[in-house]
Parts: sequence; C-alpha cells; structure tokens
Amino acid sequence: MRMKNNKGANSNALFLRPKEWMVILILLTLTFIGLPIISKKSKQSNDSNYRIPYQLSNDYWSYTKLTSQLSEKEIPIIGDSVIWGEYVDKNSSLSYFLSDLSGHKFTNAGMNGLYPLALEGLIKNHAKPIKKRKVLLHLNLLWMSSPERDLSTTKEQTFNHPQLIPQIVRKVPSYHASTEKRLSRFATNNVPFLSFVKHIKENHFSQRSPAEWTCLQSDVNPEHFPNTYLNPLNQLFSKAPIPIDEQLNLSINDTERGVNSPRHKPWSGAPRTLDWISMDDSLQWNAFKKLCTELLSRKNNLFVLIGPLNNHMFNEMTTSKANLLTDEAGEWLKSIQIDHWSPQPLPSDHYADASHPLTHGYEMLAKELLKNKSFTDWVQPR
Amino acid sequence: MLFHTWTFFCFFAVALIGLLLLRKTPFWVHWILGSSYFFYGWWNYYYLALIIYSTGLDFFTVRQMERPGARKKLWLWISILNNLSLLGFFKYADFFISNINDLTGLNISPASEIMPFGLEYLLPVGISFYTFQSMSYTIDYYRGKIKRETSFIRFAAFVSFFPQLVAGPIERAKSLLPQFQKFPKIKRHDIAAGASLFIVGLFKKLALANYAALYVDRIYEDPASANGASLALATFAFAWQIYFDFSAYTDMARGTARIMGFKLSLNFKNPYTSSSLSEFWSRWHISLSTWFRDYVYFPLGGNKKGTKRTYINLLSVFIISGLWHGAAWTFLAWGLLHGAGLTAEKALSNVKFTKVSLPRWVKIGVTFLLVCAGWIFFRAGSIDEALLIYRKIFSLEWNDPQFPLFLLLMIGSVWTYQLLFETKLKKVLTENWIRVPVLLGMIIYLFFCSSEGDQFIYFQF
Repeated sequence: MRMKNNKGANSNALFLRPKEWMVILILLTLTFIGLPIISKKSKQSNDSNYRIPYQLSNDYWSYTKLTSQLSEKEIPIIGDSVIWGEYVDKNSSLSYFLSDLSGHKFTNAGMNGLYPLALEGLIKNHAKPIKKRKVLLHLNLLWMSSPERDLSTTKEQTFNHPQLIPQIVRKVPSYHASTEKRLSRFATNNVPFLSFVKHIKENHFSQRSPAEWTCLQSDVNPEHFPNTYLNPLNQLFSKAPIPIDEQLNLSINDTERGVNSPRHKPWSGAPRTLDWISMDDSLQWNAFKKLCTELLSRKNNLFVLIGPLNNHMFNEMTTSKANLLTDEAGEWLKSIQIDHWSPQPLPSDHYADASHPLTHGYEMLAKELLKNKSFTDWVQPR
Repeated sequence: MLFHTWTFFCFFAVALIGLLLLRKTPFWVHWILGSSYFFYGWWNYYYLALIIYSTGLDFFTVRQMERPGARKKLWLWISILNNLSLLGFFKYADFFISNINDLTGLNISPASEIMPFGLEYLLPVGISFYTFQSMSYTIDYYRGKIKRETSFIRFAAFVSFFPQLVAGPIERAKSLLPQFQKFPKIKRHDIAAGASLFIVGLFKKLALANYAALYVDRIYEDPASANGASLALATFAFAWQIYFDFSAYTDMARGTARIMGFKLSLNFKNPYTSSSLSEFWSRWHISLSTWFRDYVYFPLGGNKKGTKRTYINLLSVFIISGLWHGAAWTFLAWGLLHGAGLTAEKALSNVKFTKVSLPRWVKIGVTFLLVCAGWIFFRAGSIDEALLIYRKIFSLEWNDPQFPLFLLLMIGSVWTYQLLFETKLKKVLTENWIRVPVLLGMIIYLFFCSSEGDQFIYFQF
C-alpha cells in the first residue's frame, strides 16, 4: 500500500453539504415514521388471551401495539398487576373470565407495577389508539396506603415505571432524577421512534444496547460472555422473548405464576395497619382523576372497577378508612358520570396478598361483576 | 454538561437562538460569555470563581504590560505563576503531599483539609485546558505576537468559549480572539459542516468509545486475574477508546462552534496511521503538542543547542506532558516512555541501518505497538500494575480473551477507513454515495446506543 503523508487530511472527512443533509433528513424522517408504522402493523400475537410478557413490563411500545391491534368490539381492561394477574397464568386473569362468562371480548391491558401516576402517563403517551372505545379501568386504592406508595414523601425512592411519571411540569416529591434523565424520559415518551428503539432493545437485546448485549456476562462460573462472538445485527431478526405462559405450555417449569406455582397460595399472617393518606393530598388519586378526564376527553366510555382489597388482611381501622376512600372515589366518579363498581371483599383464601386475587378469586370477581346491572348495561353495545 | 446529552441539546438550542437574536446588537459576545459560564457552572458553580479569577488576572497582567515603562517580564511571570499555582494546587497538591509524606515520614495534611468554607477539594473540570489557553495569551502578548484585547468581555469569552472550554482544543488567542471581534457569518455550509462533525463525534463517543470501555474496564479492573491475550486486546481496545473518546469531544466541540460560525483548530489527524512517534505527535492532540512545542520546547532551546540538549529538552517536555495529564507516577512513566521513544527515534534517524526502507504499513504497525505500550502506563492504576500487565502479555500464557467480535469489526472498519483515507482512495471515500449512507447509518445506530452517565476521559485532566 502506497501512502503519502496527507497533512491536510481531516480527522474524519465525513462532511456533508447542505443538500446532502436534506437527503439525510428526508431519509431519516421516512425511517422515523416508517419503521414504527411497520412495527405497529405486524401481528403481536395470535393468542386471544395475550398479555404483555412480564419481562417486557417496561416496553411501552408493546403496549401501544397491543392497544392499536384491538378489534372493534374488544374492551381493554386497564390497570396494574391485579388486572395483569400477578399470581395467575393468562388463562386465569380477570379478562379471561370476563370474556369466557360474558361472551364479549375483554383484553388484558394490565401491566405490572402500574400505579395511577404511571398509568396516567402510559395512557396519555402510549395508548392513543384506544380513543373512542369502551374502557374498563381499575383503581387499586393500595397505591394510597402510605405516603411512600403515594410517592408524596420528599425522601428519594426507587420505583417502577419512572419513565411514565410527569418529568418536567408537575413535581413528584419522591422522584429526584437528574435533569438529563428527566429530559431523556420525556423525549422517549413523546417521540414514537425513541419508544420503538427502546422496544427493540427490550425485546432483542435483553434491555440493553447492541454493544452492551455483546458484553453480557452469564451467571456461570468461571466468567463467561456468551454473546462475545455473535453478531448483534442477527438479533434483530430473532423472536421476542417467549412469554412465561407460553413457556408453561411448552412444559418448561415456571415457578412464578399459575396454580402449580408455589406463589399461588392464599395469604397468611396477622392483620395489618395501613397509613392511608387523604384523597385530597394524594398524588395517585389526583393522577387517577386526571386519567379519567383525559380518557373522557378522548371520548372513551369508561367503567371503573374499584378494588377489590383484601380487607381480611387489615385491622378494623384500616378497613373502615379504606371503605371511606372507596366511597369518596365512587362519589367523585359519579359526579362526572362515570359508572363504577366496588365489589365486596372476596373470601379470604381467594387472595394472595392485599389486593391480588388467586385464580378462583378472579373467577368470582368476574361473576360478581357480570351480576352488576350497571356493568352489564355498560357492556352491551349501543 | 456533556455534549451527548439532552441537557446539552436544550442548552445549545437556547444559546444558538439567543445568539442569533442578538446578532445585530453588541451584546452577542456577552451572551456567549453568559452561556459559557452557565455551561461551566452546570458542573459546579464554585468553579466559576476560579475561571473568572484566572481570566481577570491574565487580562490585568497584559494591561499592566502595555503601560509605558512596565516591567513586562515581571507581569508575565505573575501570570504564569498564577496559572501554574492554580493547576498546582488543584491538580498536584495531594500527589506531592502524599509522596513527600511517603519519602520523609512526615504527616502533612492533604489539600482537602485546607479548603475554605467547607468546600470540597475537587479537580475543577477543564482547568488544565483553560489555564493553558489563557497563559498562551499573556506569553504571546509578551512576545509581541498579538495585540492586547481591550474588552474584558471578549477576552473572557475567548477563555471560556463553551464548545472547547473543558477539553480543548486549546486555542491560541491569535486564531480565536479575532473571531470575537464581529458577529460571525453563519453560512449554510457552516451549519452543514458543523452538524457533520457533531454527528461523527457523537458516534465516536457513544458507539465506539463507550463500547470499547465495556471491555477495557472489565479487564483493567482486575489485571491480576486476566490472561495475557485479554490484557493485550484490552490495551488495543484502550488505544482506540481514548482516541475515539477524546477526538469525539474535539469533533463535537468543533461542530458546535462551527454551527455558531466559529472555527476551532484540528486536534486529531488519524493518529494511528502514523509511521513514527514524531508523526504520531503531529497528529495526536495537536493543540497540546504545539502548545508544549511553542511554550516549553522552544524556550528550552529546542534543537538549536546541540544534540544532547535536544534530547534533554525532548525528555523534559514529555515528562511535563505526562504530568499535565494527571498527578500520578503512571502518567510520568507514560510521558517518559514517549520522550525516550522520540529521543531514540531522533538518535537513530542518522544511523544507516535504520534508513533501510521498510514498507510504510510495517512502520505504522510498529508505531501503533509502541503507542500501545505507552497506553498501558496511562490506563493502569499504578506502576506495579502496569509492570504486571507487561509481564502477563509477554508471558504468552494466552487464553480465550472473549473480546467482542463486533467491536473488533467496528474498530477494524474505522482503521481501514483511516488508512485508505491516507491513500489515493481518499477521493472515492469522499464520494456522495459513500458519505451519505455512512452518515445515515451512523445516525440510526446512534439511537440504539446507551449513553447514561458517560464522562469523557479527558475531563479528568
């Protein structure tokens, strides 16, 4: 190779002229718009009881995709892990039993750890396709059971879904993220392409960048880096993580969920006291109210399910305060003409903890809900 | 505030819009100064006091020099000593105190204990860069190379100009100060070139430097348990990491400045295509190399005072350069190694045997290996650790290094590109059909990179 000492050489020389930048900008715009559209159109799952896999609980693009692929008559049930089914498999969640018993199609649009403040962000930024639909919305009062859970203490806390909470305008006292993190999360919430990129990372690169993925260390000893010699670009064509439920169908032993799981058992222990906070001071309740207003402004037809809480787990004072909060929530919903229902507590052994029902609990809850006239009226097509 | 953050993008958008709005007023320089101080204060606003003090004193000393009958030399030394004292205290005090304590058995308190008002003893970001930039102004004025800047605001904007404030390029007053005299003409071509530079820098930092760091940090964190092959490859990766990291900063600095209509000097010129150490230093951190050449090497006599003195001067400059990079014996050893290498290169340049014409690619390979040998000192935690790394590499007890193939591919592509760029193929590489898709690919890949909390290596210097 013959070389000459090129003193005028630049460090990169990848200079583009204005016209070339225009070409790049056009191509980038096409990519930014095109790729997310193609991704949204591709079928998420053929499974009628599909729910977003647990390990993709932070993949809000999947949520957008789920809501954009709802058929005309499907009714999404939106809420936290009570709706998702923390202790049960996908064929034992509320949406499954409601669909099975009512003949209407209910879709599990729950997500793990989705407190009202995060739910508000999720619906606002990542669930635009559900506008003008019937929506069954769940309110879990447990998020107001202490100032910490309400995120209203000034002490810094680590919590789920920090991307979904207000980043810039509204203040969340427990959230102390740096300006950079806030801006980055704000951008990811508001630029669909960034959310799509996060989806690719979550699905194909174990929630990392392609570079980090090639350096992933396995748990085995001596230290081993299984992806070292793999081409990360091939990962783009790999399948998304297999949901645990599907793994169960493949007879892979799952210890987390379903009737065979050791976690799937009734709660036990002494009654507890919860430090409920007042509705007026609650960030979570205010966020829930904003969420309802937002959905109404999108012409959604709402029905709110409040609870059920496992009152068997609480002492008398805690239970009576919880009832007061339920009433207060109900009154507010009534005041803005949203139908709602708060069930009686299920039998004690139908709960796994303070709010999550077990398989029979969900079945019973669905049956009770279908006995409620306002609900059945609401479900009927108009 | 790092270039590759959302915070910077927001800051820059505001700074640029403000600058354009003020273009017809005399306040655009004030705006640049305010933006630069805001940028700097974002790290720690206490540091602002230092930069303002350093700027003020240098402005004052030059004003004093201009007075009729002024003792110019005295004012020059006041400026130099002031800047070196700042550097000495914040950068080297603890290093010297701990070494004196070790040598003498004394128990002198560390510098952190004498900080006033309970302030933390921290190395102010970019102090090595802006003190050198400010010092060059006083020295150049003393030498009669430049005129005195009459406006303090303009001078302060020159010292603290935010694109290059914390990691260079170290600009000379002669080239940058005149650019603050009147509002720069911002042409479409400048914006396009600036954006190109910025994207290339962003890619170098996020896609390449950070990627290499994943491997380098893993191996250098515990060299005792790493094998020779891993250490050799980690050193190879570090050579590229530091190049990508530092040149990325420079590219982004130059790009940002260019969008604002300012031109900053080239700091890196494909250094790993050098065929000798002296060529390497004409391509690596050019603004610092030339600074040392003009303000240390030449005043020491350069190569004008005989062979022996030339060698001593070379060694001295590189020892100082090593120490400039950090207060540690490893940096001193790194500087010494380069000084010795250059001295040997100079000494051998007249020996017949070395004049045998080796192919250029062999020389490039040998130079790269020598530079890598130096990087071991630069990256290792201590001299002992560096020696252990050398021993392990040369023991040839090599096992599977588990070096990411994709990283190797990326580095290989860049190296090949740079090598080809130095040949006649440069014309092909600068064709539209190469540049446009390459830059497009780089931009799309950038979205998939992770960027949380990655400082630039040179911020610590």
